[in-house]
Amino acid sequence: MNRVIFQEQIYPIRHKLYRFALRITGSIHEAEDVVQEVMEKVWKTAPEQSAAVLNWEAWCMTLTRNRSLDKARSQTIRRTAPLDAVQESTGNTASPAKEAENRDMAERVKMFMKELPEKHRLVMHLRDIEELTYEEIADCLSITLDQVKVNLHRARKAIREKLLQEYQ
Amino acid sequence: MKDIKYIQGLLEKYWEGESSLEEERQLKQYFNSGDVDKSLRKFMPIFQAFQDEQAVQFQETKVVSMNASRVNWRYLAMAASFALVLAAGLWWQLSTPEKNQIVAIKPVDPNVSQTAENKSKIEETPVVVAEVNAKHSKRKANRHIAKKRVNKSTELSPEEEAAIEEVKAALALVSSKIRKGRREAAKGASHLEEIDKIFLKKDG
Repeated sequence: MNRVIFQEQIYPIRHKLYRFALRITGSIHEAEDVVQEVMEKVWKTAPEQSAAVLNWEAWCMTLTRNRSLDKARSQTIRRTAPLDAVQESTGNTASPAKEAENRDMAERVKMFMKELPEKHRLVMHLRDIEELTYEEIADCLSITLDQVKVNLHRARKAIREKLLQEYQ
Repeated sequence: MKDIKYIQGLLEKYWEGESSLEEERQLKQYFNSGDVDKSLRKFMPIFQAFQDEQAVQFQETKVVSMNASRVNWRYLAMAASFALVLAAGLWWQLSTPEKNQIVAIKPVDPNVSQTAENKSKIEETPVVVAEVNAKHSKRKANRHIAKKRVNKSTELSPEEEAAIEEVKAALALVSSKIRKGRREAAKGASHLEEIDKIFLKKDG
């Protein structure tokens, strides 16, 4: 692995990789491990393989996805740690009632996202949180552009409907 | 506040999955600005949730452990080297032929009559010493000192000999483990140091 590529392209996306791993595994510790493993794997990439990689970010996201899915499938998933932490902090702040309600609803939205089917959840995360292009998402998840758009549309629609149900 | 119809148009494209990244950024900016039209406020939590999630960061606890690991390996290598030198020194001291020579030589009491048996022992002694000296010429100068020691009670008891053997065996084991540990440490440390340097350089 080229040191410059690692410094300029891989290291800066560690937070993005972490969030993606966290989205899949639901565990802070598992997500941290995944990022470490991906970083190590990228660092050890042979020069000839490095030359074939056109988009390092998409490649890293794919590695992260695969490693996270392996962990999520092989181990008991501890999903609630990050959400619990946020709920505790919001519960302790003395914010105005409206702001508190919005915060509460934002937490509900996060919960809705976690309940989405895997494809919907991952496509929505990569687009709405990581701001990847449709092409990058397709590469990362090994699906077609049309599938990206369909999954994204369904995911957003599901979130909107659940949110509106909350207000009723 | 932005034109409400423009935002509604963006929002429709967003639900359909047809909006561009730039349009989606505009929506996020609008809904997180705090100045949102009343009719659209119900969608604020969605973009609030996205903003919250984007703020989640990788806590580099593992990188810290890599730093600690590097330092530990260095200290471990130093300690191992020191222990190795110490062990080698002890072993050398314990296995030096001088001791054996001293054991081989029996004290000679001039008052005791020179029986045939005693004579043969006395004759054997210079031969043993000579053989040892041939191998360790540097110790020739100490020969008379060794002979002086002969007058003291230097013969080791079986318990002492057994203890020395056990110490030798233990030192041999420690020595082999240290060598193995150093080899393993060197392997891991070189790789960790490379990544670590990059992290430190970037953070620094």
